Order: sequence, then C-alpha cells, then structure tokens
Amino acid sequence: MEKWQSRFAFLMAAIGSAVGLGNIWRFPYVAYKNGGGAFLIPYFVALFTVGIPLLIAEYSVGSMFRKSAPMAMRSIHPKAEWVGWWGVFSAFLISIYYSVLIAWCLCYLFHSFGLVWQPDASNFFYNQFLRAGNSLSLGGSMNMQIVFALLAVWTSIYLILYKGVKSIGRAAIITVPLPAILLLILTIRGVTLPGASMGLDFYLSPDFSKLSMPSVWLAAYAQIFFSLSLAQGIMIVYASFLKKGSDINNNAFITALADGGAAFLAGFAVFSILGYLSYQTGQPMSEIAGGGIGLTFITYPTGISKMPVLASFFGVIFFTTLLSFGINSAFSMVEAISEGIKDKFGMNKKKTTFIVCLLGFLLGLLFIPGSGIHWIEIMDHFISNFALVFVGLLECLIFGYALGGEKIRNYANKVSEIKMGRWSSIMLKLFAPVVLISIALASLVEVMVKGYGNYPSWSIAVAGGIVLMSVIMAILFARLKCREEQ
Amino acid sequence: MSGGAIAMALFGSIVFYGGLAYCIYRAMRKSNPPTEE
Repeated sequence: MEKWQSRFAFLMAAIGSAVGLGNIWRFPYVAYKNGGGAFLIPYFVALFTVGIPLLIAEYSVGSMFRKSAPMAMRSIHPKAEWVGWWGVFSAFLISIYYSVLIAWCLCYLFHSFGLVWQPDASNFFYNQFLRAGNSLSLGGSMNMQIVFALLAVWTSIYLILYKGVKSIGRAAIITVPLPAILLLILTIRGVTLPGASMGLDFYLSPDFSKLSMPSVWLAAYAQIFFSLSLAQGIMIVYASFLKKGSDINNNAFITALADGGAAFLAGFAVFSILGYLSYQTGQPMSEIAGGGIGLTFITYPTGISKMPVLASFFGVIFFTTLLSFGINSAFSMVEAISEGIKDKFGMNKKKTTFIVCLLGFLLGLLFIPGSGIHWIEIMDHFISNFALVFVGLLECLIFGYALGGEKIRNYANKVSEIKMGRWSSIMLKLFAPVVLISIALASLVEVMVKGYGNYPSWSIAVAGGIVLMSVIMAILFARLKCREEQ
Repeated sequence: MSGGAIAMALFGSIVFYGGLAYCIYRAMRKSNPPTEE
C-alpha cells in the first residue's frame, strides 16, 4: 500500500486540491456581492459548522478504510458504493472542462509576453482566441493553440499521477507554495498601485444589513462546500494514503484555513487591480467588478496591460499562479477516479491513469470550438449545484447514520492534536444535510423560475441529462463485480 | 480605505492566518515534543 512521504506532502496535496481557480475568480466576487467584509462572518460560520466537520469525516473515512471513495462507501454499506462512484464521476466530468480552462491559462501565459490582448481584451478573447459565437452547436473551427495546450495539460496530469502518490506529493510540494508566493507578489504590486484603495473598499467595506438575507448565508455555505473539494472522493482517496495514526482534525483545520486564506488574499490581488483599472479608465467600480471567466481573461489582463512598468512580467505571474493552482486541483480529480477503478477492478495504475487521461483529453476537445465557453458555464452550474450537492447530502447521511457520526469523531479524536466536541457529529448528521438540501432547492427553484442565463431550455435539459447519465453510470459500476468477487 | 474595510481586513487576516499559524504550531509541537528536564 502506497503512503505519503511526509505529513507536509499530504497537506500540500490536499491544499492544492482545495485551492483552485475558484479561489481567485469566485470568492472575491461572491464576497463583494454578498456584503463585502461582512460576508466573512457567514463564511467563517459555514467553515466551522459544515466545511471542517465534512472534511474531517472524509479524511476519517479515507484513513479508516484505506480505500478510494467508492470502495470505502462499499465498506460502510454495500448499497452505498454507487454514491462513491457518482462523486468520482462528477469529479471526472469537472476535470474535463476544468483542464480546458487551464489550457486557456497556459495559452495566456505565453500571450502575456507580448500582451497580445491589447487594445481590446474582450474582442481578443471572444473573437480571436476562442472564436466564440452565440450558437451552442458543437461544430466550428478550433484554435489549435488551445488543442496543443490541452494536450500539454493532460500529459502533465498523466506524468504526475502515473507513478503514484509519492510523485503527487513531490509535485504538490512545488506547485502549492510557488503560486502562493506569486499571489503575494501580485497582491503587493496591486495594493501599491494608484486607485487600489478604492478597489479594496469595494471588496471589504462591510454591509451588515445583508446578513439578514438567507441568500447571503446560502452563498457562504455553497462557497465553502465547492471550494474544499468535498463530495468528489478526492479527500477520501488522499487520506487513504496517510500512515496509520496520522492526524485528522488538525490536518482538516490547516487545509480549510489555507484554502480560505488563499481566497482572501486573492481578493486583495484582484480588487486592487480592479481599483487601478477604474482609476485609469474612469469607469465606475460597479461596472468593472466581476468574477469568473470574464474577470480572468478580460478585466484582469486589461488592468495588467495598463501597469506602468513590467506589465508582461505581472501577466506571466498571474497566469502562472492560475496554472499552478488549477493543475493541482485537476490532477486530484483524476486521481479520485483512477484510484477508484484501480481499487475495484485491480487494474494497473499506469494503464488506468492513461485511459482516464486520454478520455479526458478527447472529451475536452468538445469544449474547444466557439460554443465551448457556453457549455463550460452550463455544465459547471449543473454539476456543482446538483450532482455535487446531492453526493454531499448522501455522504452526510451515509457517514452520519450508516457509519456513525460519533464513531467518526472518536476515531479522529484518538489520532488528532485538536479534539472535536459532540457538536461536530451533530453538524454532520443534522445541520449539513439541511444546508445542502437548501442549496439544491434554491438552485432548483432558480432554474425553474428564471432558467439559466439566457441559455435555451434544451441546453439545460442536455446538462441535466449528463448529470442523470453520471448517476446511471455510477449505479452500473457499483453493480459490476469487483476484483475479489471475480 | 474606509475604517470598516480596514477592520474587516484585520478580522479576516487574524482568523485565517492567525488560525493557520496556531494549527501549524500545534502540528509542530506534536512532531517535536518538549523535552523534560
């Protein structure tokens, strides 16, 4: 059985999985939209009431059974195996389009040398780089740059994973501290630019009246749940490689606080540049502030190109940061499914990883033509808000009732430096399921009332169909005979 | 920056980075237990 070379390697891999593109492009914008600095209060409440108890439960299950998520679920209850498969299939679906986003970052890293997105970053991104149109058809021309970048991304994922957990640890020891240092450099540069304080005011000025709105609290719980790589089988498989008697609770605290800390720091790097852009162009902050793909590939590069000195250098730093954070999360998603297949069918690790990476690359090609950006948005919304939330809900019930919240707490406390009280199992059994049902219901009502964006209902049906297909695949995989039975 | 923004920046930093520093200290204390005289 493979093991992490050190506790540091495990922590770096777990933090690397949790800290991803969302920490940079999602958290600052969610915070700004939901009360600015006041958002930190629901965020911390969500972190301590759901994020950390769920993370402790996943680490405990991985460490207890020393198996990948589907097989650990099977050990808890034979009928629970499909939930593990649903989680890892969802992670694999995410990795398909996530790797396309990383490929875009890789292309932009090279574009940073000439700041080629100037003078109109939006026109460059949509028309020249993506060749995007309004159609959702999967046909159309592909930018070969992105194809080669995608190939490079999947090759890197394969090279990191095929040798096993020790090479994951070695990669994470470099690819986690490096972007953290780069993010700090970007933040220092950002806050010393004129107009930065105006941007930071937008990010952090508290609006406490928003704390009375349930949607703000739900946004905090959703942010915590999606950011910590929960319900994808990642943390279970990573914890399965821990040495016997390794700490659980303190490792969960360190992972969660490092993830939140990176997102909080990213807010300074992002909003200081947005403030500078507003200062330079005279555009109001409310028009500039945004998140997601638009922030990363249009607004931020525009801000960078207006820097007085070393603009290209800071462009390279920004996209290297995204690339490093992104690749850590991507290989953790692939590891979750390839370990699941290896565990269940006794397949060779190299072969399993190669097949998964090849499939990921080929399916990723579907997101490269012009309509790809729209499909990424649609898929991400449905997999996160429905598949992952439901897997999370089922996990809470399986861990809390079939395995036992108290059993998990006692197991974790026995080996940990920080002891958890009875409240943590109550959170796992009662509070977390209520929160996850609320997130799913809120998303469902929103989609039914408003639809999703301006996308046609057939595209929503396709995304829903893919989520449904992942459930059917999960049930089929759970019914197949495993290595011991054959 | 407004006073409110500065206060929230301090609050966030104390919880995130102070909490992280404390957890790392606990982890290091376990790996290097103090020797008894």
